[in-house]
Amino acid sequence: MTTSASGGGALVLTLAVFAALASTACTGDITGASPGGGGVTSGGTLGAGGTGLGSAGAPVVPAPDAKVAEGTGTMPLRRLGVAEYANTIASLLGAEIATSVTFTADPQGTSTYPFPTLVGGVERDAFEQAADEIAGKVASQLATLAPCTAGGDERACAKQFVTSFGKRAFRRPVSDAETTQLLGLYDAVRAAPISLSYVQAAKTLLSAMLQSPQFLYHWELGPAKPVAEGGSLRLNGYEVASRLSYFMWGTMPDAALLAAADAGQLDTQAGVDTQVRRMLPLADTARLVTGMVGWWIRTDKLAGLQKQPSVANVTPELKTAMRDEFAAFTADTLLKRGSYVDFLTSPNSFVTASTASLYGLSGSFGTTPTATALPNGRAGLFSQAAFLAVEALPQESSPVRRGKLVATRLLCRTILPPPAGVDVTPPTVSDNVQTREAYAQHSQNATCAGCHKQMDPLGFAFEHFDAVGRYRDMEAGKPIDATGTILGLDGKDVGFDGATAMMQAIAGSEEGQRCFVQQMTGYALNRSLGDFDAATQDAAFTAFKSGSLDPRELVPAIASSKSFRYRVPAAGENIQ
Amino acid sequence: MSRFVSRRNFLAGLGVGAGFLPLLGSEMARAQSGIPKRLLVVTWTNGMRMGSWRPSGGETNFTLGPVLAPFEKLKSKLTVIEGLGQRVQYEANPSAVGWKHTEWYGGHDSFPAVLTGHPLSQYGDFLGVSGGDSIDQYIAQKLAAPTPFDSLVVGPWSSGGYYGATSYRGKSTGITPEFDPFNLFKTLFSGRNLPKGEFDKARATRKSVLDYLDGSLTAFGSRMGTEDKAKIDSHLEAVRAIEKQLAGGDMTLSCTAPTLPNQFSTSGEDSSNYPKALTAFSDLLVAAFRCDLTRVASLTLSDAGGDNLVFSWLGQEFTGPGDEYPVRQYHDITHRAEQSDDHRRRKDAVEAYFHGEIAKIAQQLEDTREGTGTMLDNTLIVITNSMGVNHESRQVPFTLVGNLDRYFNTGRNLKYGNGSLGVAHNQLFVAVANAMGVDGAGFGLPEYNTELPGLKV
Repeated sequence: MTTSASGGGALVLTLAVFAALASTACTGDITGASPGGGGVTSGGTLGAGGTGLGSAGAPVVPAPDAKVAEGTGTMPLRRLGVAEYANTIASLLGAEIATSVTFTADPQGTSTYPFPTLVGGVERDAFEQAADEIAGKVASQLATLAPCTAGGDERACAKQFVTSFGKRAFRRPVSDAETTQLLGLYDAVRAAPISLSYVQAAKTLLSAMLQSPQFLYHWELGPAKPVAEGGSLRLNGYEVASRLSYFMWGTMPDAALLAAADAGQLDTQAGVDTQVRRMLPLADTARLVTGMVGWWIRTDKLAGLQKQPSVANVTPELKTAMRDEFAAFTADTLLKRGSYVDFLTSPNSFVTASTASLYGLSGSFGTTPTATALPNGRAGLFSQAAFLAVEALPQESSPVRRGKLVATRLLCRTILPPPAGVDVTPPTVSDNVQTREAYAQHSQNATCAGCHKQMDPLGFAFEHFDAVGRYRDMEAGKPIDATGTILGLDGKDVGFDGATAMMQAIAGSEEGQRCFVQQMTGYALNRSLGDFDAATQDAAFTAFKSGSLDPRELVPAIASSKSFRYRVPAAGENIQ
Repeated sequence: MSRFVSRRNFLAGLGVGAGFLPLLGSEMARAQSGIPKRLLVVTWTNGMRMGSWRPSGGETNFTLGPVLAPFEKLKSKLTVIEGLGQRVQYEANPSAVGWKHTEWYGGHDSFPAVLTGHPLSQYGDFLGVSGGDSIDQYIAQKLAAPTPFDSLVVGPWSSGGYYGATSYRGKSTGITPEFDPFNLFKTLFSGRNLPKGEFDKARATRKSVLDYLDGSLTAFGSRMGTEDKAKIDSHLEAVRAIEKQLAGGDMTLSCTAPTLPNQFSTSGEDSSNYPKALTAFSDLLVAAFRCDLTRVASLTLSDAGGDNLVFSWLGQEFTGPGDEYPVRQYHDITHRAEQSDDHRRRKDAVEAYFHGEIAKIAQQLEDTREGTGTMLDNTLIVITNSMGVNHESRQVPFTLVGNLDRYFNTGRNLKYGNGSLGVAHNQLFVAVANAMGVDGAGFGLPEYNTELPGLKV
């Protein structure tokens, strides 16, 4: 198994690992498997069936048909993820207010992106401790957040605090009923026998709001009735504001977004487009691409990266340099240059002293990433150290892991795990046996080949790069063979020699381009995609394609789509 | 980030390790009415070499192999059960998880199903989500014992989230085990390190906040769909568990909190403190049973992969080079388990270590008098694994320790099934529920809801 150093990622690990390790003794019947096949997954996550009556006895939604025709899907309740929580606290109270509490890592969800766990005892504990800690730290801000003049009406001040801070913490106006509940808490802790002071009570309110579901869950609809429109539910302005800000920035809406929601400007496609284009150039938008791509290549694993000492000395500086290069290059190509093609094929990266040494660059480099053209035919993110080192074994490269990642994330193909009874110990590479030779059994054994021909050759493209991402011409005394074939790319088998040629083929293919659209749509919606999202994806692809494959045209196309701005009711939901 | 959800800074200054502390937040002053029955379920991954686990000899005159050898002293209290498997995974569903059930390979993905009687489901997420209650949670809910905690879910080595969880409530994602023993100590035995007045005030404030959260969660989820509401209900349940604990008032127990060692780090991917953490959890679980703070507990010894578990304390040969990592870790050891005598010995030594630690828990219970017997006579420890050999879940090991007030006829080695696909492990769990005084027929899939025959006295 690979490590899940920081981020859950339960499933992807299992699949990746088993695929990665298979196998010297690959046997078993997997003829029923159907690898390949890009495009969206079918189905989606629909409800388990209506319950007949809601809690208030109001009519509720029956289980929706599996084929939702309205052009959108459900919006499963999701709470703030680990990074979202940290970013939101920073946006709400300042970057200096952070908690030392560590939360349960977010595992991978149906979207194939992180989806936070349920809140059980452990999570509840963590939220309580974090909220109390944060409330303790904001002491100096309380005079600003919850001002009250000496001798003033302290209850009125508390109410003002609940309304003003609450609107930001809940990301929408606080309802009267919610204000009453919070003031009930205020009254309880002011009264005997607790008898807290006003300031202590304000801190308690702040802690309580940070533990409340309105803060912790993405359900900015709150107690309001959903907006029914044309068979679907249209997200209201506050729901759209949060969906936009968490998609693009990984944090809560800023003042301008909340103001746009107040003014009803997010109820229209044009209004959403205006906001997206305002947001795109802002610095926090880097989180969109580093968050999405970072999950593909599992940059969270860099912290725990280990290699055999004989292969490389993986220093903390090298890990930092790898991460910095990934972040700088990803943001530069996808957002600043605005080029999906550059992201996959450009040699112009950002290097610090540690990576310069790894890449064999001469010249002086420091700790600040410096724009530099990489040597040895390195082109695009996938010939840089972060990807190559994480997707490799401690002592050698891993064509299976690297190839599987390309197949699933850049071509959106499905690779099934190996069947029962397979010995998944990695093949043995020795002084005389090249990595590629060791993996040859995957193509010789017909049972293995069914799946492995979909991934091993894509991994062979990277054979010029060793376990830590260093360039090599020879291995085991023989020249490197980095040739291979992508099966069925836009319906054709496409041969290549080396990573650059393979990435150029992918970048130029409709399958690759559509996959990027699908990846970003999944990231934006954080649910599995269904047939009902086809119109959204087609329109987004058209915008992406006609915009010269500029992700800055793709983001607004997704954000203003029906899939993003609408949802269907959940089974059992009360929409009256 | 650490794979441990730790709150060490928060705990600094708590003063755990102080030995006996006055206890609070429980209803323990109530008169003990009869002796309670208790259940501890222990699970982990990576299977074992079944030949080393399996006893030799007959049903009653058997000899323990190297893996179960640590139970020699308690042999008369064992039921070793062969021939059970995760039949639900192979027969009932698995198209839901993306491949045909004949292709189901068990393996690490079977981890969330190890204690449930359901195939995995796709509910709300991808793989790694259970199809229903795990046996500990099924029993805890039905039992509704008048204890401060209806169950404890702990483990010294969990990645958290779905992938480390074995305890599940309903068709949902798992209950993250508490993997910080110091935090569990605080939860179970909060010491009064504040002056009485301040402490009461802090507790009353906390209770007011919990009351508010109870109300706001209830309102928040009221309009939601079934699946979303279930998520809010889980959160609400976690809030209510603490409310219930606070409602009991403070008092001094007639039992003693265990002494934990000085604070140690359980952070990151360094497993060197694993033995200390496991010992601390064992002591805390025994104490929780003794004090009747709970009657149901699950202890998960690894996450679904066994990643990064390096058994350095078992000897130098356990820190040699590995396949997937520079240093040999649990998953490596398992995959190499049949390749040489050295590898076989290492795999067996690891499994004997785990069983030895569980045997120590059993021995502590056995050494505590209760009624006319020992605590172990009123307790059942269920030991199992998500796999048998070679990453398959068709046949998995089961060992029971204790007779649960003479329900189980112990001191036996039982064999079920006659093929490679074991008898549904559900049926054993049905028996466990029945033995705990809870109707087991409602557990798991209805086609396997009859009690496994041949277990009872």
